[in-house]
Amino acid sequence: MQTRSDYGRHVMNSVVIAFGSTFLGLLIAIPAAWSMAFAPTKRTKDVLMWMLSTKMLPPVGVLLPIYLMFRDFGLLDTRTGLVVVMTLINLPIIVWMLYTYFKEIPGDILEAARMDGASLAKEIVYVLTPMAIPGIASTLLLNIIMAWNEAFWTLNLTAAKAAPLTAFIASYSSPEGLFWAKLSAASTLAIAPILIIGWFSQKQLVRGLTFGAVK
Amino acid sequence: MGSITLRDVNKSFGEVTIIPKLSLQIDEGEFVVFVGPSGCGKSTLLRLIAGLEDVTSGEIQIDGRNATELPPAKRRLSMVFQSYALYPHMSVRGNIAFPLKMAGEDKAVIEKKVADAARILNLTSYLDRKPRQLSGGQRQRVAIGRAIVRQPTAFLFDEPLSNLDAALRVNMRLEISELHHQLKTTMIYVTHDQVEAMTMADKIVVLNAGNIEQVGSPLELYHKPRNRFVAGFIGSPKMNFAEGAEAKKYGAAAIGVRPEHMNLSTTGGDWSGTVTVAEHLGSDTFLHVQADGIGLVTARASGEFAVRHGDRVYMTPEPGRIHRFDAAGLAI
Repeated sequence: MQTRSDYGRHVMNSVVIAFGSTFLGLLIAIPAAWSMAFAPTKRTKDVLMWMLSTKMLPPVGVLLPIYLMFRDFGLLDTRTGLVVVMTLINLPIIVWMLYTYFKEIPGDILEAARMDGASLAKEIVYVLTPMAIPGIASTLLLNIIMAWNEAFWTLNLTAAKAAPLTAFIASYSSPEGLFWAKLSAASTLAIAPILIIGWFSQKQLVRGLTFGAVK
Repeated sequence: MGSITLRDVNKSFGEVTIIPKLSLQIDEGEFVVFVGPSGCGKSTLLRLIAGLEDVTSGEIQIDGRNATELPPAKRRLSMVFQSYALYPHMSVRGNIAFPLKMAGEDKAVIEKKVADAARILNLTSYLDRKPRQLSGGQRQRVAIGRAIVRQPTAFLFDEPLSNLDAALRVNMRLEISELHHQLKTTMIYVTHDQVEAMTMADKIVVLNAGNIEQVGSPLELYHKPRNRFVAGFIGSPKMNFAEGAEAKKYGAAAIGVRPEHMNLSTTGGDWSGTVTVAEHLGSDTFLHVQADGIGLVTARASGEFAVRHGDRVYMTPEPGRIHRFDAAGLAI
């Protein structure tokens, strides 16, 4: 299999896309979720619902406009392009998860930080984030897994250079026929890294997903 | 350093007005207590001073400078919260050092100031523990430690003792008073407990529905309440009120007598009634009496007073200790 395709390159692409989009997403979502949880306005609930509603739209419905935009910006088959699109499609879920975790944190503690002279950025870095670590960790893991396994956008927007492992697997189902043995081998190789990460972080993941539920 | 002036401060949440126009002067080094029933706006007022809430209109001055628009971090005030609001992921040392770290102090300076604060508050042996490993009283002390290290212009306390048990509350009350004598910094203290207000304050501000009912020293409020609300709120047990014919005798719409200003007798007196409950505390005896033509009256006898449920007693208000009120409830 190594002779036919470059497994290492696909793994690198998957790693960059999954981790890159998750970190970028967290960078945007932490301040967003902070403002929704601690400084809500009358429209906060509507914004949250709107964000969720974008996940209800079948991705194929926006494939054409996104494809054309990517072509015009020269983002087709680039890691940057995939990081951007993956961040955008997972952002609603990241914001929603963080929002529910942040809601569990007593506002008093953040106000205490403000009284102690912390600026907004310091309040988020030194107080909110460390307190929400279990929640942030499980959000991070879940998003890495989702971005790793995402197949629709990766297959449609990449060809060779930026193709991640999902495209690597799909390449074994070609018009010339299905190569079951190779397909299985490729799938195993594709899920191996994430399986290992998941195994080591399952305790954190479960703790994060039940955070606040059992008190 | 440490004077705070509120000028026509108003706070509304949409249509609901929490604090109608309110003005107040707090002098340097004073221990001011905001007291009032729950929902009277005392905590909101404190949060306005802290900057945790924005004023709808009016001005807040700290040390003569307009601080109305300043964020909490820039007001140089420290606050102790009812829930303590300690940072659970930091040790006691980390908690106390946090305000200094935010101010960008030198490491050696932080180390020294934390050690000093810990010594004042008896926390030295707990510095490396996490807040969850401490008792309620210790947590409260950490919260106070966090407030004092920064040497703020003024301290704000938001019902800091309500989560403690009765014995600890008395202790902490003394410690806070002691701290005030030591630091001589302005303190603003919010409580619904009038005993705390009476024992700690230089100046009490009695609030009701967002309005200041009276400002004065504890004894001023006790001896010369401006209206029925203050008269009923300050003092424990509460002042007794009588209306109608009994009040008319004194040329008032209502009269008030404190339980401790009532002479008790089993043989004769101005008012008579039947004891419903007698509370014998040893040092005092509190009698709850169904007085004829007046209603339920509480009276205090010093020491022991041997009566039981159902006994007849006679009460005579001490002359000169009777508070008279007009129809609008204002003191005459």
